[in-house]
Amino acid sequence: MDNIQSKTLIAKNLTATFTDNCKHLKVLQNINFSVKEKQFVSIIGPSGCGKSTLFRLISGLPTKDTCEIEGEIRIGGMKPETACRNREIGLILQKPTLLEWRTVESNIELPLEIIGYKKEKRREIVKKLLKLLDLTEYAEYRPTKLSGGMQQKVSIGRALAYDPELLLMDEPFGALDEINRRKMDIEILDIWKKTNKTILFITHSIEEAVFLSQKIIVLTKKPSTVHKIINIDLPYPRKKVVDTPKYFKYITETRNTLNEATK
Amino acid sequence: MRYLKKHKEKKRKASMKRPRWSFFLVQIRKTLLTILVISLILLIWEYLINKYQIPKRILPKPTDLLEFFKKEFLMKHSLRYKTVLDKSLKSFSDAFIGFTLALLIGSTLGILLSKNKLTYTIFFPFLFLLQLIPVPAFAPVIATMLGYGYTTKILIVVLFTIFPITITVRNTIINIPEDYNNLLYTYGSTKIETFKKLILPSIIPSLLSVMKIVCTASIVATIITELPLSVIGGIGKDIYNSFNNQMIPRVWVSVMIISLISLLFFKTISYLEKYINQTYRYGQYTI
Repeated sequence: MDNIQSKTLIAKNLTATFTDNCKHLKVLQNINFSVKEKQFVSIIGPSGCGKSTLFRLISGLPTKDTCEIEGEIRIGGMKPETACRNREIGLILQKPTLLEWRTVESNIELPLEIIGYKKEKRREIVKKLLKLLDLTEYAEYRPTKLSGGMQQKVSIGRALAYDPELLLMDEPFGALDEINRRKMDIEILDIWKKTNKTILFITHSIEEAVFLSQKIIVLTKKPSTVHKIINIDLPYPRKKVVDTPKYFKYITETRNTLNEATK
Repeated sequence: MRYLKKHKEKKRKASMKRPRWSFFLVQIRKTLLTILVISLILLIWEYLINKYQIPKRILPKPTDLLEFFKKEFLMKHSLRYKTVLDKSLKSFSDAFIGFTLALLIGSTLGILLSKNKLTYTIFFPFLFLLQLIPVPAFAPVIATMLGYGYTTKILIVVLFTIFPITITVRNTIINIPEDYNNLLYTYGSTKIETFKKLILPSIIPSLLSVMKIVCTASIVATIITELPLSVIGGIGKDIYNSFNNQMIPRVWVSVMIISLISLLFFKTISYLEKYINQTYRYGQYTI
């Protein structure tokens, strides 16, 4: 029992099949992995391998009727639906999905308003988050006035506002250019360190996965299953180790594993 | 930050070149030009009618209109007499009531239709039928049921304008990106909260733009219904009677006045739309 509780996320024999007009499409097959508390784990796989389906299943959002699920997912011992309703999951999507009619500040405040916190408490939390994200001077800005990276930072702040157990990130920096992406990678590690959250990060980029995570889950192509789990044994901050041979070794290993998985 | 400074610098320079009141100069020039064109048209009109001796009951001259105008507005009438302006305003106020009702009922229907497919499949054919039937032609049918009264008039205005409102509201709600709904779901949002925080702000811009289309339509509907219905007080009825009595200048002036009111109504809503969209930025997302 103890063992289960120290693990925030467990996926056990997870299989998902889409049934549409008597056609069966198996997207996920027998997926097994676990994420420990306060761990940073990345999921990488060929495009169209069902990463987003997996993401949706873990997020606990209502699935379509055509999707048949076997196996189980547990988040802190709860079903994803329960975890979602208990506000244990913070979603950060590919697009920042901010509301333009609210300022940066009140975008971060949105979940707190919905939960029903008092105004002083909301302000206090938002102030702290703005400081953490280094966005204090942009508090009164409209989201479109910010750059893509900063918009994504606001959406991270919004997810952190209600203090969820697990942060789910679905290629959050996919739309950014190389330089900004690296900058955001460094910042997300910083935020992770300061907030002690468990993060599950879906990405397309091998380098990003190695740079960020302690563990990389490599998925095969459809119907996808876990091909290999690579433990990245590099110290943080990663900025200091990017030029070491060990770092390159991990990148090569991940690339080779991904190539095998795609075959 | 550097960019911001540069931007401010640019703005400052631009405002130095052109003084603030230059905006009014442009506006005045525009207005003068419009007045000039209109007076030119009036002059040509007067000249052509004089030249070809067209009788007043077919096409009145601008001076005939002016004469009627003087008689109607500058001379003293009995207290019970209502000028064409009073009657136009009465028609406008009825149109406005119909317009407001159509907005309320139409948006509510749009929200209901967006909720699930079943309500949509049940109610949409009826709504579409409303759009297919020429409502003014349908007016007598309603009149026989509800009588030739005020209720019929308002009901017809509502029927005439409700369809675009409902469809716009429904489509806007359906087109809200799914990600936003998902996010609010993870915040544990109730249906009422989602409506308040996401749906309501999202429909405001499209509602404003459909209001622009519907506002003039509501006036048209009022006038049309006044023609066959004997509801007193409206300008439609007055136009109908004046036409039958060959008081053609009166018809012309009435048409001009109601058009002007229509224009003002439209302009007010346009301005409102521009102001609200620029200030509050409702219904805009970061994509």
